[in-house]
Amino acid sequence: MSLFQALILLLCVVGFHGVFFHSSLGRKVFSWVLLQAGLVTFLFSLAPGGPALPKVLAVLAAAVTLSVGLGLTLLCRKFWKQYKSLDENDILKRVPK
Amino acid sequence: MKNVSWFLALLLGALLFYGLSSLPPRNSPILTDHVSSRYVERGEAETGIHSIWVAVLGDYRSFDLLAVSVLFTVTALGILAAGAGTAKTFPILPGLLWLGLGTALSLGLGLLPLKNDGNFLDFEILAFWTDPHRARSQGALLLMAGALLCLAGLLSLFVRRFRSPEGGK
Amino acid sequence: MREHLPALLIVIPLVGAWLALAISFLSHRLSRWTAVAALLADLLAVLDLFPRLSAQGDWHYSLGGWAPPWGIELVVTPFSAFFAALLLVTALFTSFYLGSHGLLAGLPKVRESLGEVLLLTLVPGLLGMLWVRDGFTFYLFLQFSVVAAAAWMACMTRQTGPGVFYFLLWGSTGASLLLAGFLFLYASTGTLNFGDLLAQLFIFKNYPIALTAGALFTLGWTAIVLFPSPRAYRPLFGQTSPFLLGFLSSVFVRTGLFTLFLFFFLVLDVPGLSQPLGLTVVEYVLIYSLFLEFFVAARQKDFLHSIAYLSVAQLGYVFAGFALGNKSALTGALMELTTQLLVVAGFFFIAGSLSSGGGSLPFSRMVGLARSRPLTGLSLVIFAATIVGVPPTGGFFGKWYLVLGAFEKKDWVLLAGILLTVLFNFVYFFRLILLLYGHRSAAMARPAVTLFFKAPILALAAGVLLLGIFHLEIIHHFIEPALPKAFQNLPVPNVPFLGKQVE
Repeated sequence: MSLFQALILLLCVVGFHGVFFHSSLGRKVFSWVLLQAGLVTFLFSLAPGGPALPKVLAVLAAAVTLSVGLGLTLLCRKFWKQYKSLDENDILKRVPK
Repeated sequence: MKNVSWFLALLLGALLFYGLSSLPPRNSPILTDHVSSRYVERGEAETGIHSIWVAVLGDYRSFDLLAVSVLFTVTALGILAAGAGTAKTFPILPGLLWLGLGTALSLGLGLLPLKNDGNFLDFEILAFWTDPHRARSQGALLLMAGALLCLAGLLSLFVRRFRSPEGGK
Repeated sequence: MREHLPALLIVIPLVGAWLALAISFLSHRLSRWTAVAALLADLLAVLDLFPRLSAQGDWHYSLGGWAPPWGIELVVTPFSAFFAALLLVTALFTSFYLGSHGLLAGLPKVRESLGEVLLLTLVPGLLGMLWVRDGFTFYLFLQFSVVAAAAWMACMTRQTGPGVFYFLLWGSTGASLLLAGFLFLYASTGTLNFGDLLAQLFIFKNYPIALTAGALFTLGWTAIVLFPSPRAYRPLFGQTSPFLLGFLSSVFVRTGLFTLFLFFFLVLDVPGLSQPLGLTVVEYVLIYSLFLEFFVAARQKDFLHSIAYLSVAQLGYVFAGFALGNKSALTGALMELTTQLLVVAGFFFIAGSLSSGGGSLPFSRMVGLARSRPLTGLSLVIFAATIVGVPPTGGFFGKWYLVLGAFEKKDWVLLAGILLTVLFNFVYFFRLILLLYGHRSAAMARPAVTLFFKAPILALAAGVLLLGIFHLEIIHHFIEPALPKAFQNLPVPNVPFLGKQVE
C-alpha cells in the first residue's frame, strides 16, 4: 500500500470513527469533514497528472462538503445558542419531550 | 455508541485496507481508461472548449453541476426554514435573489434545448442564438455561472444567519 | 416535449418549488395550491410514461446529448415508473395532511409554505435516485435528498432538535460510504456508468473490489434505512409530525432499498458472483437482527414507536429476498418493497390523524378505535394483515414468493426466519383486532373526522388490496422486467460496453 493510500485510509477511518465516537456535535461535524477529505484525496490519487475526470469529481465532492458542512455548522450554532452546550448528552436531557 | 464506533471503525478500516490493496496498479493492462481518454483526446474537438476541466464539468457532466446547484439551493432553503416564523432575524432577499438567478440560469439552460428538439442540457442546440462553434462552450460557462450564483446565495444566507443575534431560536 | 419526460419529471417539482416560494410572499394558501399542482402535474407526467414503456421497454435518456458512459443517462424502467407513481401519490397525501398538522401543531403559516417547497425539492431527489445510472450523480442526488429531508424536518417541527442533526449527519455519512464504494469501482474499471460497470466487472472479474464496493454500499445504506428506528432517532418522536416521518420511512427508505437492489444485481451482478460462507453468515445476522425488531415493536406501549420499529423490521423481508437472490425471491422482495411503501405510509398517517399535532400515542388511546371510526379501524386491520401476510393483500404474495425462493434455494435458515416472523405477527395481529374492537369508556370519546380527511388512508388501504388482487399483472408488467437479465430468458451476458472496443 502506498503512502497516499495510507493517508486515505487514515482520514476515512478517523473521520468515520469520530462521527459516532465524539459526544460533541462540533467534533462530529469535523469528523465528517475528515471523512469527506479522505474521499477527495482518493479522487486526487486516481489522477496524478492524468485524466481530468477524477479531479472534476473531487471539486464537486468538495462543493458538497462545503454545502452540507455549512448546514451542519448552522445547526451546531443553533444548539449552542439554545442550550449553551454542544454535548449531545446535555442537549438530549434538555430537549422538550 | 462509543463501543459501536470502535467496531464500525475497525470494520471500515478492514474494508478499505482490503479494497485499497486489491486495486490494480496505475500501469496495469487490465485498467481501461476509455472514459477519461476520450475527454482528453476528443474533448476540445467535440465541445469546442479548450479546457478539459470546463468541458467535463460544464458539458459532459453538466447534470452533476446542475445537481450541485440544486444542493446549494436546498441547503439555503434549509437555512431559511430553520429560522422561519420567528421574529424577523435577517434579510433574506439578497441571498434569495442570487439563488433565484442561479437556478433560473441553470434550469433555463437545461430546458431551452428542449424547445428545439435537443435533449436536456444539450448545449449544441443553443447554436440557434449564438455562433454554432461556441454554443457548447458558452453553455458550459453559463451553467458554471449559475452554480456560482447559487453558491453566492447560499453563502450570503449563511453569513447573515450566522451573524444574526437571534440565530439560536 | 413528451420525448423529454424523464428529464422533465425531475425539473417540474424544482420549478414548482420556486414558484411556490415566490407566491408564498403574497399568499400562503396560493403557495400551497401551487405546490399541490406541481406534484399533480408530475404524477400525470409519470402516468404518461407507461404507454411508451409498455410498447418499447426501458427508456434511456442521455443528458446533454452525450451517450453513456461519457455522458450521464437516465433510465426509466416500468418498475421504477410504477414506484415513482406511488411515490408521488404518497407525496400528495403527505402534502394534504401536513396542512392540517401545521394547524394542530401551531406552526406559523410561513413554515407550512416552506415545508411544501422543501417537499417539492425532496421529490426530484428521490426520482433522480430511481433513474440516474451514474455512480457519482447518484451520490449527488442522494446527498441533496438527505439535505432536503433534514431541512423539511427542521421546518415542520416546533423546535429543531438533535434528531434533525443526526439525520443530516448520518445520512451524509452513509452517502459518503456509498461514494467510496463507487470510487473503488471507478478506480478499477475507469467508469461510473452502471451498465458499463457491469460489463467491465464481468470482463475483468475483480472480485475483491466488487466485494468491497458491495460492503460499502450496504454499510452506507444502513445509516439511512434504520430511519426512523427509535433506537437511533428517539429525539425525533414527539417533535416531528408523524405524516412527515411516514413519508420519509415509506418513500425515502424504500427508494434507497430499490437502488441497493440496482447496485447488487444490475451493477455488481451478484447472481453471477459466488459468495464465501463468511459473507452468508453476515447476511443472516443482518436479516435476523432486523426480524428481531418485530418482537421489539410488539413490546412497545406507544403506537408511534411500535410502527417505527415495524417499519425497520419489515426491511428484513426485502433483505432476505436479496440474500436468496433467485427469481422467486427477488420477485417477492420487489413485491414486498412496493407493498411496504403503502403500508408504512398508511400506518404513520393513521398515527398522525389520531395524535394531536405530534407527541405520544399510547395504545390505551386506541381501544375501541374501530367502533368509533370503522373505516380507520378497517384500514389499520388491512395494513396489519399485509404485514402478517393475509391474502389477498400484497404482503401475502410478497411473502409467498419469498418462501418459494427459500424452498428453491433450500435455504432453511432464512425460511425459518420468514415463517417465524409471520407466525409471531399473526398472534400480534389478533391482539390488535381485539384492541381495536374493544369497548371504550365514554370519557375516551374522540372527535369525529370527515371522510375527506380519511380518504388518503382509505386509498392506501385499497392500494394494498389491489396490489394483491392484481399481483400477477404487476409481476408480469413491472417486476419481471426489473429483474436481472439472467432471470428474464434473455441471452446472458447482456454487455452494452466493451471497454476499449467502444467507439
